[in-house]
Amino acid sequence: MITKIAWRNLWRNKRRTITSISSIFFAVILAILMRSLQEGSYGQMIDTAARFYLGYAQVHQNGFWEDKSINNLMTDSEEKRKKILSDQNIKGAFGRLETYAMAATDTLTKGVMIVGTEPEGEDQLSKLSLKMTKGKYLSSESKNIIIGEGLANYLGINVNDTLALLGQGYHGASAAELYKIQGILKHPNPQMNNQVVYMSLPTVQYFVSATNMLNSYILNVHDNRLVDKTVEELKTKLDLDTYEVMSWAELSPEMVNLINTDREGGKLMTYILYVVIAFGIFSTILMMTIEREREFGILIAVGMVRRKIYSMLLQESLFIGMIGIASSIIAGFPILLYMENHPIHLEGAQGEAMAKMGMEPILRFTASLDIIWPQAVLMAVIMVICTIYPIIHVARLKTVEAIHS
Amino acid sequence: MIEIKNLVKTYNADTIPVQALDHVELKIEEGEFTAVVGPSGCGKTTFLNILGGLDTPSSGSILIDGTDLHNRSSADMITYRRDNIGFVFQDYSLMPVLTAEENVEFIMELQSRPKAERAARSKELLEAVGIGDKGKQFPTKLSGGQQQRVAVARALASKPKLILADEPTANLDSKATSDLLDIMRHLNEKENITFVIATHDQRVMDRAKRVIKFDDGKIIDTQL
Repeated sequence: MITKIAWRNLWRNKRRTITSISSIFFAVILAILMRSLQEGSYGQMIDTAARFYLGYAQVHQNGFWEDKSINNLMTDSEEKRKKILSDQNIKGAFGRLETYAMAATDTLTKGVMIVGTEPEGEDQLSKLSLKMTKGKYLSSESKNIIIGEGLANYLGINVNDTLALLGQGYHGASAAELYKIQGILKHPNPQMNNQVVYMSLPTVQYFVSATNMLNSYILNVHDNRLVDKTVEELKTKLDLDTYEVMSWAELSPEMVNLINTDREGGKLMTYILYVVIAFGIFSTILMMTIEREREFGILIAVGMVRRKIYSMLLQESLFIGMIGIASSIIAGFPILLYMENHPIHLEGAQGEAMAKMGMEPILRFTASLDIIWPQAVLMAVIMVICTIYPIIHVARLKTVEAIHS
Repeated sequence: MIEIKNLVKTYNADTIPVQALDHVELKIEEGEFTAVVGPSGCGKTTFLNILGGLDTPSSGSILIDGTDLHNRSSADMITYRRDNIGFVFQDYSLMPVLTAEENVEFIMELQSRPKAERAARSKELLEAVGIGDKGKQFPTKLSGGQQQRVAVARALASKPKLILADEPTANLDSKATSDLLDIMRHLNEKENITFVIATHDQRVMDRAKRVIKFDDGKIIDTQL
């Protein structure tokens, strides 16, 4: 009966109840969209960094990440690969040997980053073959190179042209060679797009005179949420005196800090939004309570214990909250799904600004229940908090005064 | 039997004291139909509030069947009222979101009585007050007289020994007043329920077995 009364009480003043529900609806929708955009952006940042360059985790010679010298290499071996691939979450692992060199045409030069890689593994992680704008992607036997579109534009070179690379080899050897360009790709990371040269692993090993040597195993995973656990498990399998295993978060702590700082800022904005909404809801619930003082007095007079009135008030506010939250989830989740599949492509100055920061000029959303349920819980908590004072008000109510109010 | 001993109620005792009840002494026998009358501010409502356990006396006591009414905790007093005293208010004070029969059932629900028993008694009581066909109606769809009948049925729901009514006919026309008084007298005689009615209404005084006159917080006259 108390629940029935609470439910019917909501509709005694339909307009006010609908206004309260609407404020919750819009607050939760807005919060969900804000958080979805934030988490989508972080996902995009992580994906850009992890999928197109870092990988979700890496294995190096111990100390390589601190001192990325061409001399700090490790030997490639089947045994190591088997150990790495034995972890269930690891989808694939491939070797990379990276170095820097001077790229020259007959008129221009530019410092470039040479990524010697296993083309199939690289493609499994980063789908680089889909980024090709001209020519064809590398094969494992290829002795040619592919370069970033920005670099090609800068140097004014095209497919089938020849590029001279000059750099330092392993243990002081000189590295100099001419390479034919077999393809040009548009790398999603604009910085990489302007300086990257990809070649097959044997080709770069030959270039730097480091046969069968690598500086990293790049790991791709099935579930990127389990990366930390996977890294910890790998650490137990590999000799940590010789090797280091690092997750993308350890490889790029500045990105983790940036994400965490931005995430907290976003949450703060959400909390501010909720505080504003909470005051509106509080005033509604308080009004619903004060204008029924006499009714509560009558109820107490005829034998209703106060705790049942508290329960009624709590149920009323939770009903308002639940309707608001449920309607915002029902309306909001399809919006998130749509936005996740139809990200906003930024153009003009905004797009360029994002590109300069090394990010794709796209605003991505993410449709995850992990974004929605905290908003629902937070809103429910706010509804309970907003009911505390009205309950105290009823607790202090003097029956006779209330009846004659 | 209700025995009221030296009952005093003083408001604003710390500032400007107002003595609402001034050493009231009274006995009300079981099954009485008593009207409490007097000018506005004479203490009728205060007397009813204290008699109903809604308010506490400054001094004195009310013994109901030999037990001090106010010698209870606040929670016990609510339960006592629920099980032993029925209230009828001037403005009916029904729950607007409940139908007539739900309003009657509500008190029994508070007593945790079984649903079937609640439904049967609610129907029986609404028929007893002459509105058996209005059970599904919400109070806003009923006339003042019909609402007050529902209020009486609600007051009877918990099978109380005592019903306190504060100006129950003040908002009713002559016909509704007469019908309501018929019902109350019938219940009083049939069920032996004690009625104490605060009123200004001569029609109520005419139907009462005893009329107690209040003035300035004192009983100045008792007529049988």
